[in-house]
Amino acid sequence: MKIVLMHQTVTNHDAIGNDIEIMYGILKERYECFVYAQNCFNSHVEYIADEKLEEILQDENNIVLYHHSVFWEMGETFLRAAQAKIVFRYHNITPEGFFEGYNEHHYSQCKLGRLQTVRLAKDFKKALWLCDSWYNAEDVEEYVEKERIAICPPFNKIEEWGSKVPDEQILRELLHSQTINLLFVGRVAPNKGHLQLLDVLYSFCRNYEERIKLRIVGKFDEGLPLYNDLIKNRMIEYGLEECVEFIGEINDATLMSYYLGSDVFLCLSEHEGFCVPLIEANYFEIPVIAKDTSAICETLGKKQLILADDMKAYAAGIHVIMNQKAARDMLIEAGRNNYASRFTCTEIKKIFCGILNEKYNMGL
Amino acid sequence: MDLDKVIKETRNCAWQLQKLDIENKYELYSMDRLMAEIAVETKQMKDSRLISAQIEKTEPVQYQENITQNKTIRGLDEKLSRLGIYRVIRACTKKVYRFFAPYRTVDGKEILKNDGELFARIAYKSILLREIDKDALENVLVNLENRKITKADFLYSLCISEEGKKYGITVKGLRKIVWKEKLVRGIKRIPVLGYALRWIKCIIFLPRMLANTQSSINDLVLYDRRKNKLLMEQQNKLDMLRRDLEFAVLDHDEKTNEREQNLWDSMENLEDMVSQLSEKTIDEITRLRGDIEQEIASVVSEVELGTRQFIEVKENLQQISEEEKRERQNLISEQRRLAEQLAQSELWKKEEIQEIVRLKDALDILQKSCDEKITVLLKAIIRNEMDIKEVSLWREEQVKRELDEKDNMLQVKKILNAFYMDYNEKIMCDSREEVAERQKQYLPFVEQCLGDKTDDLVMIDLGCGEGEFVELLNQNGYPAYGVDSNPMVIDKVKGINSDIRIEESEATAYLATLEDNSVDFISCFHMVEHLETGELLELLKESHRVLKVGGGLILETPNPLNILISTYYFYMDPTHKKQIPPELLNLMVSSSGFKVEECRMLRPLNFVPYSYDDPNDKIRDIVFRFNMEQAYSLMAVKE
Repeated sequence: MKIVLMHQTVTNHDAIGNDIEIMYGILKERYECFVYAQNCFNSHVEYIADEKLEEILQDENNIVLYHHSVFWEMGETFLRAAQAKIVFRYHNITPEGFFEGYNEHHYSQCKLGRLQTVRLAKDFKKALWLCDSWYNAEDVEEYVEKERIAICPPFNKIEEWGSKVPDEQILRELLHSQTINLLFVGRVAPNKGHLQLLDVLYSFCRNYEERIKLRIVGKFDEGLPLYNDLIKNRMIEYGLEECVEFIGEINDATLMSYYLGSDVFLCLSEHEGFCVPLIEANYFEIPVIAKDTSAICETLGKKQLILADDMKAYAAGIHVIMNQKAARDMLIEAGRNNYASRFTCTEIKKIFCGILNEKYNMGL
Repeated sequence: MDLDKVIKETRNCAWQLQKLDIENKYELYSMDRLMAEIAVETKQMKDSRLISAQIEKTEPVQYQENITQNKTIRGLDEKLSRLGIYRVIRACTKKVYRFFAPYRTVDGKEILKNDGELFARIAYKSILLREIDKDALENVLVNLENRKITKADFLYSLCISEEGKKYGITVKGLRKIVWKEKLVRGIKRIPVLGYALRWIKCIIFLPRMLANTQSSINDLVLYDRRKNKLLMEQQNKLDMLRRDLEFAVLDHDEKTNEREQNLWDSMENLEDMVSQLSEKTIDEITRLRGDIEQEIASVVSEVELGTRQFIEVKENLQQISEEEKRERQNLISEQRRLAEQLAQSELWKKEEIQEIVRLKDALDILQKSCDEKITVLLKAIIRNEMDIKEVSLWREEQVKRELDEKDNMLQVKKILNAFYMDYNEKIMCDSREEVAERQKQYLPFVEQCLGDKTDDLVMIDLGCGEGEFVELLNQNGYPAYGVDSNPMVIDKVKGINSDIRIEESEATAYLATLEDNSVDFISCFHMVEHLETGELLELLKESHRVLKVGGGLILETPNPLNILISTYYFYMDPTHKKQIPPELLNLMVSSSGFKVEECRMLRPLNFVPYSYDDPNDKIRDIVFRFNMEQAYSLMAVKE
């Protein structure tokens, strides 16, 4: 049996790239395993060309693990001609509505991607759907029987990069600063709730005397000038220029310093298929305050501070956490347990191998 | 003292004692408590004027654009802008290419559909691509309210503003609306016609206004009906409630009467019972009273005893409870302290771990750097060793070569010395007596230099050869000695005259061993032509150094002015190196610090027999140059 993992782009540091790389490592131990991608940026896997892919897809004993997170027409064409068993690894696609009025290309790509999801779910009657979360599974449960849906969190490399040495200077600055350090990690896109983050910050500044600073780690998308202007104008209108810092894209050591040195991880994202930064915050023992949307509640698990739409409640939450050590400790403890019991590589590997063994008797 | 409360507190204390296990300390705090605290905080907070909702409503009106064409035309426009002529016609061309390839356009009607603040916000976001600022918003709203401007005017002003021009967004249909409004305003201003037109407009639009009014009245009637219906419904509900209430009151009254009747019946029965009791059992009661009084007395005593015991127990319990309370407080404070210590230690631990990680990293880097440095040093050492080996080998070779060269030189010198001996015997075969005779001419100069001094004189004849001049001086009472580098000549002289003192050494090297101002006289016959110019200058310098002030120096050498000497005889001696013209030697001696007393021409060669009688003979001078003195000497004194 041969296995091929497919995705349009395989990179080094994003959640899907990590998922593919670790899956490849696990499957490679027992089977001949390859990766097919249009854009190959991760050097830790073995890529194959079109001919080899077609050859593997023609054998019904082989398995193709198709990672679905973007619209990929070519990928679908390959799958339609395939005789091999198909497993869809569904990471979700942002609903196009978030990009409406901001970027026509993103809007159309997301729309096409979500339509593709429905098409794949409808047309591939025997395929197994391996979803990151139950929330993701909701997208396909209308067309796919429950027996063909399984939940497996995405693999992560937190333990690997989290055991390295943090950037000492940044960490020292954060630990010695007299401000409350809030952190959010995620690219600057309309579904990530940056405007609401500013609302929370503004509410906090209006109600409490304590100094506070929000750091947003993630790169700006030049294709979203309107959204970027909206954030900038909102910051100016609230007078929060000094309280917000956009960090941009950074290396592992620097990111680690921000996680270790921050006091609260604040997430008001409107749409997440899983949200890896939440479990990173759990791992680095920062209390999390998050908005009850999409898969966030599911990822964070029990005993976590998940709030609704009232921005004042988030500000109050920050204040309580910073002034009630017991509350803070409780959230940290719950977060630590959440990561240790559900999202370590060992745990995810158990789930992943269990599903494949049950469905295809792979003996992993 | 409430005994139950004390027991409860004691139980609580015991429960808390069990909970001292630090691992479970978070059980004291719960999500419910956290959420409740957040809710309380939220209630106390000021309402912030958040703009999220407004933003969602004020999405900009979508625009259409042709980026490629825009880029091309803008690029062309920029290039042509450099031409003066184009700048004149630019306004016209701009209109034309806008017509064919419009800039980004938004639908003006869509924007004008909105009113008030929402309109202003949408207009700003659609045309200036930003939020409206506070002052501008207030200004716009006031002007719109006072009808100083219309919405179309406002939109137009945004489009033609500097900021609006920068984005180049065209509002579709706006120009038409603006012109229409301007036209209407213009017509209205015409004194009579305007008034008449307004009347005509009113008459024309009267049916529509009537229809609108009728529609409004219908709406009002409908609204009134709906309101009446609602009022009726409310009235009905109220009537029903009133009826229910009345029924309830009546029911209550009935029940009250019934209860009153029952009470009266009970009272009557009670009165009957009391009368019966009073009649039949009065004696019994009297009897029983005594018994009861006795029993009461015993009970009272028991109660008193019990009360005392109870008070004692209570006091004991109180004491116990106070102790337990203290104990509990101590335990709680201890627990807190431990928790704080633990938290602190965790923090320290975390910091220490970070520090250790950092140190480990630094150590790794240091180790790496040390390894690298050691490698570099080792390489350098190896390279140095190789260099040293190479250098030592080279040195050995050099020493060997030098030794060989020295041997060779010694060998050559030996051969030369031997040859010189032959040369002196066979070619320069002047006898010792002849030489001494010739050198007698210098005795007056010697005398002149030394005066009456005879004791402790130091007189050296450098390159003394067979020692003729030394012997001459010795014979004249001067304690002179010679210096010569040829041991064979020295041996020869010693064989002839063993009293002569001759030092075997190079002339300059010998002088270098002497102290300053320690020599009275130096002579040097036919030796300077055996030296290179540098060696000669060094010899003169050393001579000047060792001679006392007033000390004399004689230098004798072949005369190159004589053609035969300079072209033939000079080369008879193979050890000759340089011919020195008298003027040059004079200069060298003077430059070395001596005063040249005399330059003396010696021994004419007279090679060609010639009388020199005919002063007009053309070869006279030439013959003289063949016949003239074959040597010359310089006599100098150190000043």
